[in-house]
Amino acid sequence: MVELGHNSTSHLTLVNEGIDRINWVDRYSPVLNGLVRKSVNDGTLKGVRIAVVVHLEAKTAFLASILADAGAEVIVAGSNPLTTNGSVVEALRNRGMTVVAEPDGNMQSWEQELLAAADLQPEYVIDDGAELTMRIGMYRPELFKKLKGVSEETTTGTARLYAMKDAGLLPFPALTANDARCKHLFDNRYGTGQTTLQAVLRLTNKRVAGIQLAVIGYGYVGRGIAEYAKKMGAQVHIVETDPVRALEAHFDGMIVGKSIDAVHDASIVVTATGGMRAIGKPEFDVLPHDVVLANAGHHDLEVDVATLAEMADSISEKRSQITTYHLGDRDINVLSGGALVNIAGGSGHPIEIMDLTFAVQGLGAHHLVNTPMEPGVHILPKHIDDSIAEAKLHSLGIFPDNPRPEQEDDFREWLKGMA
Amino acid sequence: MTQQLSDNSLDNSIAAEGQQRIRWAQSLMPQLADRADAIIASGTLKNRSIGICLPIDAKGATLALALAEGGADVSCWAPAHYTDCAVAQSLRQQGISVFSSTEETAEFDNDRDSAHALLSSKPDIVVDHEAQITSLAAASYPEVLTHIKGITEASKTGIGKLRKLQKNGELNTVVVNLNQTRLNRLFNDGIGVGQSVVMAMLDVTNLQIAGRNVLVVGYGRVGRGIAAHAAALGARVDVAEIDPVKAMLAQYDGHVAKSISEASSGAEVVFTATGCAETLTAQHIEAMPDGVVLCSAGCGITELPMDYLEQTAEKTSVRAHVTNFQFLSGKNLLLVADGHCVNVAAGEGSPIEIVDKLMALQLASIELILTEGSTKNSDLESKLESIENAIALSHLDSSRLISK
Repeated sequence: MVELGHNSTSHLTLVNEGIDRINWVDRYSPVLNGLVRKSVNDGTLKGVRIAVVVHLEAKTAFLASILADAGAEVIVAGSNPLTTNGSVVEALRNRGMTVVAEPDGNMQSWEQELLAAADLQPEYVIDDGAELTMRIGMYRPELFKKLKGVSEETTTGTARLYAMKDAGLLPFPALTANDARCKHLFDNRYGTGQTTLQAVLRLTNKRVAGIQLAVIGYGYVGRGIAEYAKKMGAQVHIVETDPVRALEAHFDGMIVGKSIDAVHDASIVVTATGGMRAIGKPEFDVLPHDVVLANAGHHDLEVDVATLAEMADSISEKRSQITTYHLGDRDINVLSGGALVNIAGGSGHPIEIMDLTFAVQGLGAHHLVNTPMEPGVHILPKHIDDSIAEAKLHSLGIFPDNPRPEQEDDFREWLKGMA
Repeated sequence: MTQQLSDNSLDNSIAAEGQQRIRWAQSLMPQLADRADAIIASGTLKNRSIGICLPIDAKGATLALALAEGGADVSCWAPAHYTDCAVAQSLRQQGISVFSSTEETAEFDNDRDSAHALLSSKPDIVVDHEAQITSLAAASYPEVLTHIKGITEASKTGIGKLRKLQKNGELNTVVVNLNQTRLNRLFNDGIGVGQSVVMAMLDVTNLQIAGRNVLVVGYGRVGRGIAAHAAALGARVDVAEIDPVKAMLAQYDGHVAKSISEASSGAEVVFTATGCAETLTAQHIEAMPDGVVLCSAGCGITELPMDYLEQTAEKTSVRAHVTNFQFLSGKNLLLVADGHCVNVAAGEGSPIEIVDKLMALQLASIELILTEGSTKNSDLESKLESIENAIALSHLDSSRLISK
């Protein structure tokens, strides 16, 4: 990385670019600017050390700024070495925030950054994939005991927190932002759905109409991608191991089947399981020539690129962010090195979606600070979740009805009769 | 498409990037490749001078390179905002003349000068776009027109202009109308532009489209494709169309047909797709809400009241490809890609696989002009129809082969 002098013109340009990016987010964040600012500015976050460890680009920076504006001592790090934006990092540093992340990192530098974030002794963590939480638990056990709470962003991280709790290894309360309806119903489905397709198309200049597109995993993320692709004219194949979800995909009009059949004729394959090695050797054996593989799940390992590299006769960079593995007479193209394609190969989620998600995170952190809770995994209280949707609706000038008393089910009458 | 060129080493690395994009496009253009093999072998292209006036991107470059491989002397021109500098640089290194001002600051005068330069290469055949080169020739170089054996044109605007020139007796050469081909109408206009326009707007703004009020002005094939893609991604779409039958079609497609005036006040994103000058007026803009995002998907700035914007609002660049116009009232309008056609100026244009079929038709048209130049237009068109059928059959065959 090039070291920039802090007063150099190029450094200033970088800072200003970062500020422009964050200001653009500001424009489209009515919930963070309204409800969230109002709630967190009650003085309870003053001096509270909060680590924000989410993909470090403009939207995350805006959340961090709101917490800092509320008086929190914010420590910022990235949740993936490939998704940190350099201009945003410099803009945050410029306003005096502690940022332990650099752009263009690798797994080693990222590990060091996370440990540095841990050593700054955060009391609370807004985490993504439980990446910092797990590392504090593993490498900084004495700090782990002092941790007061974690608010987690993703499906992957939520599963990790439950596993820690089940193993008796979670000594503090954790909130799963992901389980809030204002998060998974919107972020996972609409946000990832739209921007994953956007990134794949931008990186490849390919079409959707008339192609066979396979989606591995039919959770909220997979469903969003599949729905949009289908509406844009693709024939969509779904691979899902959960029988209820697989049946749901069938009822949604998708073609449901085994992975090797689903990918056999696919032009584009998107992984969205949130797990590891969603596609590996059995699929690589049958993928057609010139297929494009992209990942929409948390791990960089959903497309098992290590195995693909072992199987390949040679590897080349065909185009920016397109790595091509040559297997005999077939070329298999992997986008963004298998990292989350909408973030590593695009601009991440739409701003308005992250306005909701980060409202959940911001209010979640505020709730953790202000509410005594048992150690374990908790869900954001419904009234807070609802208040976010209400704030968003109100910002759009939409004021839905409240239920009228006569619209209630008559079970109370039945109960009276049964008593 | 906005890198600036300076020194040679930078030129080389930019050219390498352009070459990567060209190779990627080539790998997804089998129809063009098949036709190119045949025409190259035939020798028909040897020593012919061909001027290509398509946007300079990887797909147009693939056509240019195929023609050059067949022995033609190929020159390319496009306005600066429709030129991918990396691709232009790569073409230059491969011996193709690219008359395009690739400086970010290029103004119309530079584009005009570069267009003149293309005409001075005295093309036998012009692959025109919006009749830009032919119109210029008719106005300033009528003697070049007498030298041209044939013109191919795929845009509706361009066909209109060429027909007018023919009617006025200013143009007596063969015009191959690719605009009316099914591959252009149904696939490029109907699908490719819609996909790439909506995606380019989203790429540039990082906004969400689900739940947004989108206004599509013009419900021709392009407008219909944009409306369909926006709706597929969850937008609520209003359509403004002066042809009542097309407006009714918009209703039947599930959109809301309105007049521009009715729809303006609720529009959060506006796409113009009429191909007509001054589609939007100052009055329409005045009725639009604060923060409206405005994109042209037709013939660019001519559809928009640019003078009004420039003269009455303060202009600031807020991020790449987004300019904020603030009016005295405090209201803001966000113009994408400086008002140029958004999918080309702020993206890579239509998807490669769709453009492949159009480029194959371009090549077939060039061949027809060279081999049967004196044939009537109607005969050429029926020949094109059978070529379209062959392209579609070949596509269907290859997808069937895969699924065996």
